[in-house]
Amino acid sequence: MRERDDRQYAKEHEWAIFEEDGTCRVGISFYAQKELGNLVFANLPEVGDTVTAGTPFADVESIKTVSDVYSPVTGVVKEINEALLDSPELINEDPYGAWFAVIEKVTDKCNLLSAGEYDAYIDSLS
Amino acid sequence: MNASPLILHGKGFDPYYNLAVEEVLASVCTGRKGLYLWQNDCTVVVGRNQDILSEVDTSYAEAHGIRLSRRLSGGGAVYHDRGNLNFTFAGSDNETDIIVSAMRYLGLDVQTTGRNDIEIMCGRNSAKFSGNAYFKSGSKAFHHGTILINTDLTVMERVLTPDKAKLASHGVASVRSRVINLSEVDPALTVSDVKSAIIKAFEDKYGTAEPSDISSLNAFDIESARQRLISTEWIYGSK
Repeated sequence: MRERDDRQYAKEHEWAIFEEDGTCRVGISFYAQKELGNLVFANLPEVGDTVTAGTPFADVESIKTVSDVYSPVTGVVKEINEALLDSPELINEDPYGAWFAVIEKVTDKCNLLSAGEYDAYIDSLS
Repeated sequence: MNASPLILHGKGFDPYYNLAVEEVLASVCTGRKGLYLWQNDCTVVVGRNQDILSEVDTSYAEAHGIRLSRRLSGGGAVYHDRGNLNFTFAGSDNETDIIVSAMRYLGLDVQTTGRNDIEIMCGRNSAKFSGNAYFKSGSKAFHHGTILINTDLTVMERVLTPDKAKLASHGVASVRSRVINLSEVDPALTVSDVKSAIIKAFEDKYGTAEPSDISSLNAFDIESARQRLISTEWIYGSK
């Protein structure tokens, strides 16, 4: 499986889409959800929380592990995907559609990779 | 980087301090293997995303001096006392094979289950003596777990309320397991025997550790992690 090339990726396995209105939509990669296995819980930030690029802003729990989810940008949480709170399995079913949060007032971002670069990075991990 | 593995022994029986030590150990063990062996006085430790009020009989806990805590890793609620040994493998995703080897050194025939547990046969049935959980954050990772040696299972049974937790609307509910103390299989076994066996299995896999102790970690980092772990906000959360 190669990652979808309509977005950028962080080395901590999140994806980021920069929308035209200046906000950033964030989720986790196909690779990340596959490595984690069946998710049983998603812990999301609250609307209005400040998040910092390269630091944890959410966490997901699978049958195997708890893993922090890092914010690819610095900004303020504008929206969260509340559907994930009741149905974390949506992340396994459709990681590209199951966004975690929309971040506004973006002032900084991590080094992000293209899908091709991220695929190569994943290959280097195995 | 091929730094030699690090082995630390617990100092005291404070659950918040011990959980803080494993967290700080994980942050210094990127690209290095660490083992921490520790014990708590009577304590319930719930998983990261559990509803503590439905997992624990909190009035019983309070009346019996049982402390409540929450760990970074996932999974279900566990009960610790000095009959239980905890291990933390820092810088590792999963070291279940080390625990299995350690048990074989002790002459105990054990097997893993699909639910992150390790079981031992007692008569014709198998029962869980070790629960394991995992945490990952960027390049930091640890695998930790419990080993029941001679824990008071009556208190465990009384203070944990997994059946009630199943009805909670949010959070990760514990699964009730048939548990057993290793001393029931081998009455002569001590916590110290189990520690030595784990160290031997760890060093067999990663090489001889250099002598070290908790004072090699940053005391300020441990204290700030401990303050967060002992806070009402972290323990009771908002799940």
